[in-house]
Amino acid sequence: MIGRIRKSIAAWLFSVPAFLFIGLFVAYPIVASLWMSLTDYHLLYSDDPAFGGLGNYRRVLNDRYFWIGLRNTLVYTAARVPVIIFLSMFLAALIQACKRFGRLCQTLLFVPVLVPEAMGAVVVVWMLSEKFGLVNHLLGMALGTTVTRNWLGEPRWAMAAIVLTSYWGIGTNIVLFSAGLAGIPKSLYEAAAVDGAGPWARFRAVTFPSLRHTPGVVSVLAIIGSLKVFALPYIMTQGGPGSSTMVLYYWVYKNAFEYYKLGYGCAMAYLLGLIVLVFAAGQLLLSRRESPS
Amino acid sequence: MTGRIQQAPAAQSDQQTAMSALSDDTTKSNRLWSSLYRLLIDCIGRLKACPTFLLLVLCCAGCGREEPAQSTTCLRFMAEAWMFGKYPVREAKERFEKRHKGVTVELIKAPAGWNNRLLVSMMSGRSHADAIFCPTEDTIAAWAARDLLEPWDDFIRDRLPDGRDTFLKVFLDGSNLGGVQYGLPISAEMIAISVNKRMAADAGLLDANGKIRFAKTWDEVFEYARRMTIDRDGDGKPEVIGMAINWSFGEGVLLSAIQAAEGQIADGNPMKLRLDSPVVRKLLTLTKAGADEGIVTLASMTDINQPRNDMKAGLVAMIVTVHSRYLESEQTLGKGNATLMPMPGPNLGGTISTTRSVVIPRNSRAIELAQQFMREELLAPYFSAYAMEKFGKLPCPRKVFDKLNVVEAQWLVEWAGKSSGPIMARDRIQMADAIRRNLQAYLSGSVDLDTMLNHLDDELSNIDMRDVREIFSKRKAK
Amino acid sequence: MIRPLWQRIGGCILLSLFAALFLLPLCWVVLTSIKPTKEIYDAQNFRILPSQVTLDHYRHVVVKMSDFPRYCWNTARVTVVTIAVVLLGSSMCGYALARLRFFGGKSFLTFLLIIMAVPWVVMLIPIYRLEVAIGLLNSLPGLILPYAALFMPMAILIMRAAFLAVPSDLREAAMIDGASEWRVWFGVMLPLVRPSLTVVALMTFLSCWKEFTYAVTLNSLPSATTLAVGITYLQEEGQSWAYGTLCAAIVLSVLPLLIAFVAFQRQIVGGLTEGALKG
Repeated sequence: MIGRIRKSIAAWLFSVPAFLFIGLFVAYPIVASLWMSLTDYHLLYSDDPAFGGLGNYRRVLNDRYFWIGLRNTLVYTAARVPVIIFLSMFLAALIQACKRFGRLCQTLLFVPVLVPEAMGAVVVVWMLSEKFGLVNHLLGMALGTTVTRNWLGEPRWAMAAIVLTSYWGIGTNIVLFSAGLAGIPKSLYEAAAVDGAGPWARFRAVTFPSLRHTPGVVSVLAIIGSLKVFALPYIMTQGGPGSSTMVLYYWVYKNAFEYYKLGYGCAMAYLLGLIVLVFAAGQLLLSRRESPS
Repeated sequence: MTGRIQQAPAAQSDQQTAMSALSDDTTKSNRLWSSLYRLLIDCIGRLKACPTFLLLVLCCAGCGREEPAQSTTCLRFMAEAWMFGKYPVREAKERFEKRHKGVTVELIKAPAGWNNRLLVSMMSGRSHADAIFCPTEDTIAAWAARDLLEPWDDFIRDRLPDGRDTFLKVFLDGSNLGGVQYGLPISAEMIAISVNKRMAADAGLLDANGKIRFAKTWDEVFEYARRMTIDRDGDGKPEVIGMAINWSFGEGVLLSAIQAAEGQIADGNPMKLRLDSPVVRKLLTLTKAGADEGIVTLASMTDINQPRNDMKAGLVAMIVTVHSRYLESEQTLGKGNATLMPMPGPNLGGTISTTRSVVIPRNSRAIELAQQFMREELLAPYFSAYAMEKFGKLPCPRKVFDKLNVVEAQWLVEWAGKSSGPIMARDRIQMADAIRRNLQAYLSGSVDLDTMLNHLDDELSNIDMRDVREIFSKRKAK
Repeated sequence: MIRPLWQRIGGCILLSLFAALFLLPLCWVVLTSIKPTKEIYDAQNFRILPSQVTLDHYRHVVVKMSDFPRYCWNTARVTVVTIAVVLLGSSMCGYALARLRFFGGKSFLTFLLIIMAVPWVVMLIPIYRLEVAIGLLNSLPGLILPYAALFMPMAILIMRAAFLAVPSDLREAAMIDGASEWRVWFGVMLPLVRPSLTVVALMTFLSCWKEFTYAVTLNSLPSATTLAVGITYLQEEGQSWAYGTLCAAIVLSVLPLLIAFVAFQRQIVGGLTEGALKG
């Protein structure tokens, strides 16, 4: 008994630094902003914010842009997550097949991960520029005419461009899948080859089932990341044209740090957090049910 | 390390003062705070053995600086990052330091959107700059309302030989609140139409004196655009497009158009913008039709720099945006090859105008030095003249202005006289965003015009459009 | 298993196409950074390769951004201290969570998982006010402390997984020898989880180096400006016709990271898989 108490005390002592940091700069802010979300706090104009109950939350639900932002966020997530999973799985398989050359390519594919998202976005904006952009020029060369499409200025293309840009940083996922693939015993493939299975059948019967754990992890991370997307639309389109690329996180940021409606911004951020949590929990449950082990 | 220890209690008590500004027992709380602080330092002293902590402390020590109450040797001058490119700020620093041995000017680059954040830390009794260059009038009003700014009135009376006449009156009044001058304007900016003169000449838009004939209606402006559009190979993709309107700054363009057409942007307080007016409909429908026709480009919706980039590259003949772009594009088009046109309307040239002024925060640590810097460098002819010659920023000091031999400058002052100044609504930024978003939704074809105007009306009714200056007068009354 | 030759060659070609596509933007940045400005903005005669190589843009970065070395130094300081703090905190807490089950440990774990879902902007507002109140605003510690706290949860999860993987008899054997809890942790366990420590260090490094939102909100003085923010100043300073300079700055700021990556490539790639899959 004494041993256990001592162990517990030791454990607490070990956790003190982490608790201090997380307590002061994560837990306290979370509680404080939860409180703030219940008031009408405006950074510039309210000296003593008044308690407003759930008023902010009610107002968020009536905010047209909240729903537009949610829709855009979901569109982005839906367009991004499946492609990320399959593309990175596909590339990892290719890397596996190509041995040494594959490893070189893996390194090259990982390089974009090192470029800060904000800078990557600036570069893409430049490449998509109507008159001076590389993309229009290359397309023009391929098609034999002058292409002056203004990619980021058209609602549909703007979102597509943002989603495409987000694929740039899938290097981490490729690495994860490569590791998963490397762990599959060769004998399984040999058995499948004996049965005369083609590449697709091999993939379905052997590769995918043996990878179960990895797609789960990757998709949870990808979903959380996608729902919290901010930097790309912020830099590439400022949410425009109109509100066609305004994602939820961006609307939260605008309210809190550009309009200084901190109470309102916090309320919205909590709803966003709730959505992320629901998705993450759902995904975890799903993958757990799939692999009972 | 020592610097930090000595400075911190003072900072704590400053903050305490700000919090209990109304109560009188600040000295008592001062003592409490400093004893608490000493206790904390004691605890830290005992923990020093821990290597990580030492690292942290070292890191703190690196940034702690001793800051005396009023400095006569160090001036911290703050401006937004882009201003370092357009005003000779670095030169001013060097000249000032050369003239006054032992004085250093520390230049601080501010990130975009910094001003209201600065306000928050200023309210807590600190300011990390002794003089600040840039705020537009509504920022000055918000800061003055919090009583955070040092008035310039004594300086104007005692130190400037010409007194208030040192500045062009139109621009000085913007930062005069309740009879007190809180900011001194350096340069002004307004919305106008910049035109590539050579292209205008080719299209026959200049009069006998080589001066551009001002378009009097938006129909005429779009006609100009049509005539300046050049499609040499006739493939439907013009090499030179007639006009680009800066829709990333759509609110500025639209409000200026209203100002020019109606003579006023808004009525009453809270402000009611005159958005559902004929000129708005006209401008927007013409733009959309023009884009379909290929005489107008809409690329600026997500790229705020597109109009000026294209103008400089000679890909667009005319741009509607802040006036200064016309001189900026002479960098590549050649001297004298660009000119200005006012926003069309019955009283040609109404627009919204804003000034860039210099303010001194209340808790500035070098008020004297800041004033000296203002008089000797920022008001010196070279400073605003450089910004005018290179980047078209209209100088506000009268002496500099009078020396300008540019006809456009005279026009600008005349137009500014017809302007109703900047919008001084409390949530101006949110208003601007709302207008821009809805405009773009219409221009990109997501909604029709009436739905758009309805949406916009809806949104604006939820935005606080009361006058910022009102807070100021209320506080003064207290 | 041997695949037919055509399949392997086809795979390699496909793979190199993808690699090329991924590197295209970076190549374009490098090309733009050595092009004369006139050519960058010449839409009529568009050139992919520069007609003449110029280093003007790099010179411009060095002159215009006299603060560039300072920003680098600030970033390095922030990164190093944050990594140290995160390593210490997460390895201690992870150890406690994995090996010394204690009251409240389980709920703390759940709490960590939950806060990873909360958008960071939620924390930003109160942290900002907190820092205004205690005077940490505009200082390096003002960045380091929130960073350390924000990167900690993920790090703790990784470290916990790592400690769980270490056989528990090792600890017991050491305890029987009379070693204290601290000794066991420091002398026996820590060396065993070195790979995971590397992972945590690297992940913290990557996120710290890139972080923008907090860096721009919590600081507005050059004495604590990091590179990620400094770059945007350069962008603002020459908004128009300055893409060459911007590209040069991007190249310069990505370069240290690239070098670090090439040097530690094996550890990064190996570590990432290990850490993330276990966590």
